[in-house]
Amino acid sequence: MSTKARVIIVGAGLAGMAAARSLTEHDVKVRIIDENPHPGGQLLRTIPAASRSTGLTREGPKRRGLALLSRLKSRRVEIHSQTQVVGSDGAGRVWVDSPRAPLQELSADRILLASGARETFLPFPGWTLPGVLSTGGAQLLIKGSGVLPAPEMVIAGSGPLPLALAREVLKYKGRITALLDESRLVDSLELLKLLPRQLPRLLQGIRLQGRLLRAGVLTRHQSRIIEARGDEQLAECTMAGLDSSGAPVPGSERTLRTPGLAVGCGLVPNIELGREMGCRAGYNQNKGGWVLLVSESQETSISGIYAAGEPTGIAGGNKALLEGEIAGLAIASSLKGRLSRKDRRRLARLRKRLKQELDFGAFLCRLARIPAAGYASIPKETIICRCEQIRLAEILESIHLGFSTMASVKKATRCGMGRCQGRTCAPILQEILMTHPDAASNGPAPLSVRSPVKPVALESLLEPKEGVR
Amino acid sequence: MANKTSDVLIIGGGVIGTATAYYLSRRKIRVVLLEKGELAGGTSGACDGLIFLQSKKSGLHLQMALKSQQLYQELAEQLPRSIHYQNKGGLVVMETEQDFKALQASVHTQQANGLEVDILDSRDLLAMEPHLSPKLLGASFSPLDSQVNPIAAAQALALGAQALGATILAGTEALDITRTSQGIDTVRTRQDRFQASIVVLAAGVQTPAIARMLGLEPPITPRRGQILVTESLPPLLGRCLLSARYLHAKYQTENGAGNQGGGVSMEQSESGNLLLGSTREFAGMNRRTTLSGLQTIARAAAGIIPALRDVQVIRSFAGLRPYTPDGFPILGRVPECPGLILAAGHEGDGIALAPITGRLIAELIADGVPSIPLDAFSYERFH
Repeated sequence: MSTKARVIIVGAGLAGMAAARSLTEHDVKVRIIDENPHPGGQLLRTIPAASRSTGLTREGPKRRGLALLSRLKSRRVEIHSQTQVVGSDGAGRVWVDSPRAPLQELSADRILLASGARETFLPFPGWTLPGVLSTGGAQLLIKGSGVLPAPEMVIAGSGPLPLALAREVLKYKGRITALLDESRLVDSLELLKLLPRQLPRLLQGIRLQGRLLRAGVLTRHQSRIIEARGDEQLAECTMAGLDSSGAPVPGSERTLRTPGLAVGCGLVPNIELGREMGCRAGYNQNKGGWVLLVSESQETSISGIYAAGEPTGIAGGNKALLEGEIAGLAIASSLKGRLSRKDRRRLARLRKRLKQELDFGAFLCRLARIPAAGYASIPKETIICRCEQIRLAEILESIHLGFSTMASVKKATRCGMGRCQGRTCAPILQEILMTHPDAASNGPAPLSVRSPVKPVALESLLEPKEGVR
Repeated sequence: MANKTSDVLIIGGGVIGTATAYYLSRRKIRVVLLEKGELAGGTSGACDGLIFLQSKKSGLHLQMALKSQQLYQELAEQLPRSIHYQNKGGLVVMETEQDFKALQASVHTQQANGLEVDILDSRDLLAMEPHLSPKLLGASFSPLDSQVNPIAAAQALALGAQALGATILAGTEALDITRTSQGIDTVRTRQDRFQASIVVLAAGVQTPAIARMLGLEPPITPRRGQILVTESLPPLLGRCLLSARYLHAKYQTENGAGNQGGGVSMEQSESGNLLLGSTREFAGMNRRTTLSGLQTIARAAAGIIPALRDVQVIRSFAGLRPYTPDGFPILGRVPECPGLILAAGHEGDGIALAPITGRLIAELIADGVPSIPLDAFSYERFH
């Protein structure tokens, strides 16, 4: 890989591909660095290989994603799969980790961060048991290999992922013991306000509800899994109804025997790389928590570094496509001078549509959001940091001792110091602190980020970079 | 804005400031400690936890380190929270004939100075630490070398001081200090004004910026040390470890900017992570890690434990060590500024020397005379 690129795009999901397309249209060469085996991002990963080639899918963003995928085979696009940007020198050069090669420092005139999102959770005792998996992970398993995680499943959480997983499980002839949703049914009806733009989404939801009904699935709103049990492996879990504040209702508990449980409470943006590079972030609950702050041109606080898609706020595939296209045009114009009138009109149109998708995003985030009472009702023995096995009790003790900020809780308990560097627990810890009476006044503050933002083999630091053009 | 008074005001919530707060509180002296960020949010939170006696210069330096190590043993018992103190013993490993000769000489001097230390040959070394490279020529070993978790230590010292009546204020920055001819008048923060008969400045690399408000120029320069952290691993290294080359780099004080050291320090923490350090560079206040710095450390570490090639690096960080031109800290009163005591400039020895520093400063304030004379550490030696 040459050490100099015109534009580096981190992430080959919808945002990254859309940006690559608008850049190549303007004769700008791009280099895409993507950690997955194949480009397409999380959304296209869930399309089975067979229908990927035929392009047969009804959903808008996925269909558009497939179209973009086919256009990546341009001589102006260089894709490096299974390759990650793991850090930077803080002055525009990034550290790239590729298989079987030492870490390499690359520079680019412009960098676009399109690093997607990950799932977040409301922890409960037993959520670390084998047999308990994330809704997104279960979906990838089913679609990637056509295998159900378990013949029978309980699916629970908030946001659109539990429902999407339920559809897949039924399609693959799996049985669903129960499908539980945190939110109240009326919350989902808020989507009606966003009509008519969101009509297809609403119809999709209604069709799915019908299918679940026909399959005899126990579906409950305002319900949650509060515990999972089993020796070595999940055997059963307890569900409970929630009161209007989001706390479990005593006496409403019910045991469900199940070999499989999938949980997920929406998405949080992947902003670690951006923060490592020094880009400013802001906390916004309507965007999924901590997001990278960007201008109208998708440029971050650091000149020359742009962000598009979920890192600037959770809002789904359409927003990622729009922001990617906007970023691509903005980068092209910053490199090549003023845009044509046609492109300027196109930008204005894109920004108008983006506004609508942001409204939808805020709705999604509200729907996925766990109320304060949810965090307040986590039992003390629950593991919060899976890597370091830190339980809520230790975090509460730390708060009690006066170590109540994100950074001081991390220092006092090691929560977030493990292998995943807080990718899973930091968003949860943030919410625990924000909803705790003795910690909330500190306000939101993300954990510090240090390279490598993803683990790298020590070996990849060994060979000098000689021999690289 | 409220006026708050105490006997002593400490500026700096790292290991030095919190140790000073703790030992003063034990003497029933009323202390307020101001820390602008988090406790151990600066250098104390970005370093390894080695309490290495073998790395100290013979004489006063070693004498202080020996005493400090004893104090750590007591602190591990006294403090309300664990400091993860482990008396594991430490190795200085030799890679070349040159290392061997240099180390042999220093071991003799250290033995003469009362340090328990011996030379191990390659076979003894491998018997003690089977994961080390068989290419190593041997090591010096002292059973006294120990390790502590510096973050836990600063937090525990602060809690210990608090339990004895001290007021610890994190997130409270000293914005302005005014003085009169008699002494220091007021330390102002965003919220309040603090008055105390004595102000202890224990702000590590931030010390010059604060001292400047009083017209003083302590020659403390940030010297960056980068550290790599591996994933949690099964026991791989039972003892604290330095390479002889690291010691060599440590005492080459006249190195210019960009020096990356050459040796390595290693410890396996209680949680199983290996901390691999560290570079010694002059890079201003820049706390970033660099690819070349991390590569230097990785290369040196893999030369000593070959199995490290296959482990995952999960994090890196850099701390700014408060370097002074002669490698010794600046401790004690400053005649031209009555009421001020400096306790800073320990470079890479801050963790090892924190308890003795805190104790001596407390003795200086409570008794007027510390049990180890501080003349060699005076501010005036540079002026």
